[in-house]
Amino acid sequence: METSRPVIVKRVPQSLNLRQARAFLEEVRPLLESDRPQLVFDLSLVRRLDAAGVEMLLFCMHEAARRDGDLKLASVSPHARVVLDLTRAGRLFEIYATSSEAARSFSGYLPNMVRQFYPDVEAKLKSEREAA
Amino acid sequence: MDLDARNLQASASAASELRGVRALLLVGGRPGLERFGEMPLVLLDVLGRSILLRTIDRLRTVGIGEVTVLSDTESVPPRPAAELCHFQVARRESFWDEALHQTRRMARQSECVLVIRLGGWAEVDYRTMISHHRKSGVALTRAVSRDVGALEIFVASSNSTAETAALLRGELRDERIQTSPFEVSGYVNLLQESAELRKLILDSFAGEAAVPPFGRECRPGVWVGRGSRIHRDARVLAPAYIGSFCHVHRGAVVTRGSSLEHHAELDCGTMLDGSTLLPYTRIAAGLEVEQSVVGFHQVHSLVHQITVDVEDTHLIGTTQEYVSMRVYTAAQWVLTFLSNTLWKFLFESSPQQARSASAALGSSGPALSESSLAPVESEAKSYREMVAARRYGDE
Repeated sequence: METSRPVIVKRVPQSLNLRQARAFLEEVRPLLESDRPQLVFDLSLVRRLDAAGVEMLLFCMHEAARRDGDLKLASVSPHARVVLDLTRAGRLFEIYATSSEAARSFSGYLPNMVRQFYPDVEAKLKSEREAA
Repeated sequence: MDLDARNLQASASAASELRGVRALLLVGGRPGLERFGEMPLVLLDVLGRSILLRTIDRLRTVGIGEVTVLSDTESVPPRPAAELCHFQVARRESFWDEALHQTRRMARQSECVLVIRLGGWAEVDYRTMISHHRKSGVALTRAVSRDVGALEIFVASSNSTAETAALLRGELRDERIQTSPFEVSGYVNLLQESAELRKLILDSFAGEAAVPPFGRECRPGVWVGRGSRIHRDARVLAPAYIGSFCHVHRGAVVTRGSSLEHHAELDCGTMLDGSTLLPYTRIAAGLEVEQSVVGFHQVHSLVHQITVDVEDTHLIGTTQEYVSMRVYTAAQWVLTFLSNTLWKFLFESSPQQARSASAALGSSGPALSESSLAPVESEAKSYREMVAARRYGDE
């Protein structure tokens, strides 16, 4: 199952405190307000993340979900990962190793969690697709 | 004469034998190692008492009279009591010169000096080591562990000033200096990083290390220090240590060998799993601390092997030792809360309340509203930092 809608990858700035989070939110607001947005936030640069930053990420996910879209995270830096784990927000997002993997996941049939636990299913589907 | 009396006499005579021995404990001297943030790990409390104080206790137990501590960092308050040791702080650049000066001063007043660079925890039988040194008649004796190799624990004879000076000028790392090895079979933990601090705590819970928790064992495997408050709805699963004057709020969970050092605070619903809270650390409500060492606005994650600065006090804060400061902080918080609430009440409109479930189901979703269907301006400034846009089909 593929989609014709674009997947937009946005790189999150190095520091995501209250001020930066607000500025970033203003930047991505047009994307969030589009129809069924498919967003990937690349967190590879993030070195400082606080409660306001986490709240902004959750708000973006909520806004995307309200419009039947999705927000996924990619290349999460260890700094960001520690704070996401600390605030228990990490488990709410689909997190991918790279942005391209995250973008590809929007076109896949299986959600990430299923791929993780049933790798054979993914391989089988892939071979079927290639054969077709 | 019965057995107890004989044992007492033997220990008293052994203690008198070691009265002429002095000990110099060096804390620091290795920039960047054996620290959490800026603080040497040996100055931090481990299950209620720091490694420094525990080492002093061991030295005093065997009868070593005078103990001098030379540190390159000020201790976490309170400083070790004056009757336990002479605590001196030296500048980092002159640390080893000061160590040499102290060793010379002590050597003039005693037959031998025990020089210990306190990087970690080593269970050395100091009495046997000094006896071994006396018998061997060499200038320097060095403790060597079976597991981790040579330790930075030496016994130096008073008359071997040249060797001692060379040893200290080489910052205890000069391998050319001849020493007589003394084998240590006890537990050794070098405490070079925070992961080893956690290992020491778990080994102590398991009884492998002689680092007993300072507190009352209120349940098997759960130790609680004096003055600590644990809410009845909080869960503390053994093994765990709650230090003195700690506060565990409602719904908090302490599990898998976690420890809270003195004046630490765990707010409502927060889970502490296999982690250590350093003194005066406060963890906010609803968080999950897993496999970490937390303190001084830093989190060291053992899983990700990284130390992260968290300056947001909504997540990790500090607690106050004194009641007056606690009252002041609480009053400040209440005033801020009231002023924010008043501001919102007066000037900000309340968010639209959700309608009933049936009305919500009957109406179209926000994705189908006109505003969301409107095309987004492609010239928006915010698109500058997009790094990739993947399209599918024939678009």
